[in-house]
Amino acid sequence: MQNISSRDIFIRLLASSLVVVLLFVLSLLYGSAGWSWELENWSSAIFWELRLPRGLMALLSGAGLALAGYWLQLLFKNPLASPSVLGVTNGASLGVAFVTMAAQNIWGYNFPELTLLAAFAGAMAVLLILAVVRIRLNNLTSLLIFGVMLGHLAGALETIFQRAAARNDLPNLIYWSMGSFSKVTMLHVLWIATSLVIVIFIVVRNHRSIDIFSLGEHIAVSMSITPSKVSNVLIFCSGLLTAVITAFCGPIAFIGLAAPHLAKLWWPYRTQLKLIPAVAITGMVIALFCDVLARFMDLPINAITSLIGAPWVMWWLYQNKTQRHG
Amino acid sequence: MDKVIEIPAIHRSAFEGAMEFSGVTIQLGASVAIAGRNGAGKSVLLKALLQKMKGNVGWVSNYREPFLDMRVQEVIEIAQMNRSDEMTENVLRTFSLNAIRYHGINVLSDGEFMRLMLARVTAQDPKVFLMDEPDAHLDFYYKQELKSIVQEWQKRGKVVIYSTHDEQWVNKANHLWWVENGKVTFKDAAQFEFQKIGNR
Repeated sequence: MQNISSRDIFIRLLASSLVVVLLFVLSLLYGSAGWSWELENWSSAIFWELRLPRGLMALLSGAGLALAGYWLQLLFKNPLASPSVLGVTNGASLGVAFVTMAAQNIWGYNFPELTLLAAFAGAMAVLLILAVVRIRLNNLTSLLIFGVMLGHLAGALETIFQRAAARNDLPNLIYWSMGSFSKVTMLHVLWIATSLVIVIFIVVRNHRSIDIFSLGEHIAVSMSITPSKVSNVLIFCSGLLTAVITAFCGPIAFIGLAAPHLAKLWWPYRTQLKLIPAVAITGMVIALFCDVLARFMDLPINAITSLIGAPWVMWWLYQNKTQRHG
Repeated sequence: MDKVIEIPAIHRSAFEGAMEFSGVTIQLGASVAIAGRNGAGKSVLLKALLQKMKGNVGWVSNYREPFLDMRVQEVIEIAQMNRSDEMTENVLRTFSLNAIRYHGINVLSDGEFMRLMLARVTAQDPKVFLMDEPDAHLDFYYKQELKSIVQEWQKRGKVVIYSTHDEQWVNKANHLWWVENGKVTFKDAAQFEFQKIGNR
């Protein structure tokens, strides 16, 4: 990594922010109703009830998932960690599968709003289990494996519920699992915005501890920092973001895994306060870009994120010969 | 101001990694060498002391967290309670890290990493230094440099505790803590010879 002048840094920040604004505007202008340049459309229901919530959702979810992924990678010291590793997304899927099954077999009626609540409850339940288990498991690797196992367990139950669900309801379940920014209202956007504000507030307050914690447990202890407290902060923050976003948008793949790595490509700093904005911006760009493309090609968001993102990252890894240890 | 520092006693069962250390009072500005065979418990002792003395303690070891890509300069900056650019520039110069100040930790060589860890504690400026084989991976030049840096710390009233396999480092210490099977005994540092211990 070479030194980069502050002028260069400013230009990069400005350019990336411009890309976010540009993509956001593009996402407001384009939709299933086609392009809308005319001013009268700006006051229409399509704009306020569909496009604006969808655009804002992509924007905030992108940032949230990217940050969640970044903190989990930092916590587990593992570049492959992402919001799905702790089993939180599986918990949400399980909730949705349960509601879909119960809708047929118990209530005999399907409540669409319940899906959302169930996803949120499922994600939070997994998070709670992890928090309780965390007290006994002081080894992070064990916790990681525990989370993955929890995910498998939820996945198995999910399959059982799917099997029991009515044929008519199954497509709902499958569409939800493909991920989407489109089935949201401004209220949902507000939920995610609030979670983001809370989480960023917590991390900014603890930024120095997190930086020192990343250097290792012994160094943290030597500077009066309690490692378990810092890891709890990171688990809570990434877990809350994942839970809320997954509940509203479904299990969005790839953004949480790739955005932190991509952010580090164009941004030189590695301390919390200086890296978080770059990670968030990168997440926003990926989410908005993929969402616009998903609408343009009429494909689910998860297919787009992985279809475009994965080869790109593979190519970058293949190209990059200068990496040595990590 | 106190002229001495209390080093806490440690009694640990075999289950936690056996360690028997009676605790001792040490003059400020003194140095302690911890020596013993492989697996005797030198690192266990240092880590146990770290847990008991936590607070503003300087910790040096050659353990490197995987996938850590924080930059050299950032590591030195976050070590300081009150950040000063002057201090950062000073330690970067002292440990010849200027040329690699923008490199990530993950691309450093073992010797460069060790110098960074030493630079980090220098910037942290603690009362007590706990160092696990601080001369590991250092080349002949920096080994010599480290000796004068440790002397400098001692002159400023710091207590420096380090484990070592180097007789010179043992002999120049004020105290020697000999570790054997998790038991610590106090020995005369100046007269110590590894040869006399033999293979037991």
